[in-house]
Amino acid sequence: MTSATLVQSPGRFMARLAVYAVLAVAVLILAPFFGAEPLDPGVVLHAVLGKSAGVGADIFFLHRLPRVLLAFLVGGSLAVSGASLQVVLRNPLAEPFILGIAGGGAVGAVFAISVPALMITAGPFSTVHVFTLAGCLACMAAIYFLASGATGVSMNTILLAGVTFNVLCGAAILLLRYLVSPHLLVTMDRWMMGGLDVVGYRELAGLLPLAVPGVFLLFIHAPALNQLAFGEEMAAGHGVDVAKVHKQVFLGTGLATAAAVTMAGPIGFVGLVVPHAVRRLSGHDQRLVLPASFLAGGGFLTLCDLFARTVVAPTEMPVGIITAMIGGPVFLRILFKKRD
Amino acid sequence: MNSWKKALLSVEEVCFSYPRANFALKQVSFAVEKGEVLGVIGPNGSGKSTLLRIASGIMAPSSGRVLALAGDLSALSRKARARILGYLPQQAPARLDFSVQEAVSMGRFPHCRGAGFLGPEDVAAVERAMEQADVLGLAGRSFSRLSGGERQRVLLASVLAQQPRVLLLDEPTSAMDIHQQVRFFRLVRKLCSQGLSAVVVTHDLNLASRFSHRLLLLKDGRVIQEGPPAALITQQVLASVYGEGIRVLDSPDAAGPLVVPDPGGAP
Repeated sequence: MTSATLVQSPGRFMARLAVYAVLAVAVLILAPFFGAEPLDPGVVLHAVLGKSAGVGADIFFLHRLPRVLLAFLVGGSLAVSGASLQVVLRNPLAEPFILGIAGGGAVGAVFAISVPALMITAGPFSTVHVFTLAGCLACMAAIYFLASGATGVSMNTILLAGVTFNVLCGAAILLLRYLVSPHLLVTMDRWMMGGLDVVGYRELAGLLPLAVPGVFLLFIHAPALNQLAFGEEMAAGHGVDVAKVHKQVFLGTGLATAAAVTMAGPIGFVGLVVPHAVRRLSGHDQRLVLPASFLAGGGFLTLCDLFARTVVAPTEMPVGIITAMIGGPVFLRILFKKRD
Repeated sequence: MNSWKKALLSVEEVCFSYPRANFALKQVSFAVEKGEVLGVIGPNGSGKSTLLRIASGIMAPSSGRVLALAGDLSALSRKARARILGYLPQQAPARLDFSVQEAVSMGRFPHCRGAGFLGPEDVAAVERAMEQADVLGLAGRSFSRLSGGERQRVLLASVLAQQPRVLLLDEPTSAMDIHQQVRFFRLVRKLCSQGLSAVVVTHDLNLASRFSHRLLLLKDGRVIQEGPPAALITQQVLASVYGEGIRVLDSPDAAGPLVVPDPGGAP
């Protein structure tokens, strides 16, 4: 075997990514056809061609398609964030919520729900969204500030501070739940379970200003993340600006995750499980792992949401329950494999 | 010191201290010329690795400056710096599962743009580096499953793939058997005879004295002495820096004195 055949060439790289892309597009096209109300593909096709409109086409385009797109964007953002954090934090069990983002967002959401007097809706956003986002970003900033010292940012401190912040936020949520009037508890619980049932195109558009720059920041640092696999010092020796990469990766995961949490609540395990599955299938080159994780994470969450919409139809299950039921066992398998 | 004009790398009156630690580098200066191997020796905690990090530009000194090819390091971009200086750290983990060849191609980072796919020149440079470091036979193996000594050779190859002018090697042979160590140092000498320079930190005084043109002896963040191995590897100098427990013997060959442990009165 000569060296030239071993090195990842752009052609081979694109071919492997194309497999993920084709599968993801297939999921995106097929998923809206399934749901509580069966849809005839012919009706939808007619509507696409502009020949007719009707209830079927409305369900497809106004109700299910935006929801499927949201699920895809949320799942993709979480998976890319997880894949990047697992490298930067040097921990295979790292996931997007490790930075306290879920905890902070949950406190914000629960607080907004618990004070109905504050509830204002403006365009696609309500006070819940605003407080969730503020909570996410505040927690992330606090953890980053605590972990940065004179010699740079300590990855171990970030990890520990993130876990601690999530616990603290858990306590704050319990306190709010204790104080609040009982009829609001149901709303809170539904938010905590994560769900994608709130959507139109405007909500979707509101998510893009956070998710797009976040995911973009992570994608452009994929070659540097490869370098970090050999340690910060070796990466620095090869010419990587390690401090800058750390900062921008945290900012990217923060933005992408905050976008996901704000719209869909804390949906667990996608950011943990999907990157591991992608690495199993496609190797460890982050230039492939990151975009493939986005596509696979998006597809995975779309399918989980499809399951959530159909299995107990005409009602729905929170999608967070399904991702946890699939993700939990996978997580355990990774954990026990590490111990071998 | 008037030879600094010819120096590929010169470190000028560098000071550095870590926050909340007693250790500090104090006014350290040295230079390496083209073709030269400079060995840096000294007891644990004397500042060898810190000095190498500063010389390689991955840490900035608190005062003083580092010149590479007569230009100030702080004025160079990180990639430009990595095209001149090849830094090999003491330890490098393998957190993702890359092949040996992928690991070596990491050294092309300062030459690549965008997504960092390798062009024909890059592939040739990687291949040449692997050949020089004698790791062509490992090309398809998983880097994380190599032995410590093999990893050190692969990482040297990744540094050579940067095509640097100066090698800065921190304990590069600590995980190697004596045969591998000798081969490694012979390679460093050969590369330097072809126009590179090397600064090598090592605890092995015999390797340092036999393969270096000059030695730099550090203690407590200061340069104690600098000069040819024969001037530094003496009972008097080493005892004053390392304390007792070592003996310097005249060697039967012409390659300089030998340092051996002295069992003293141990039962």
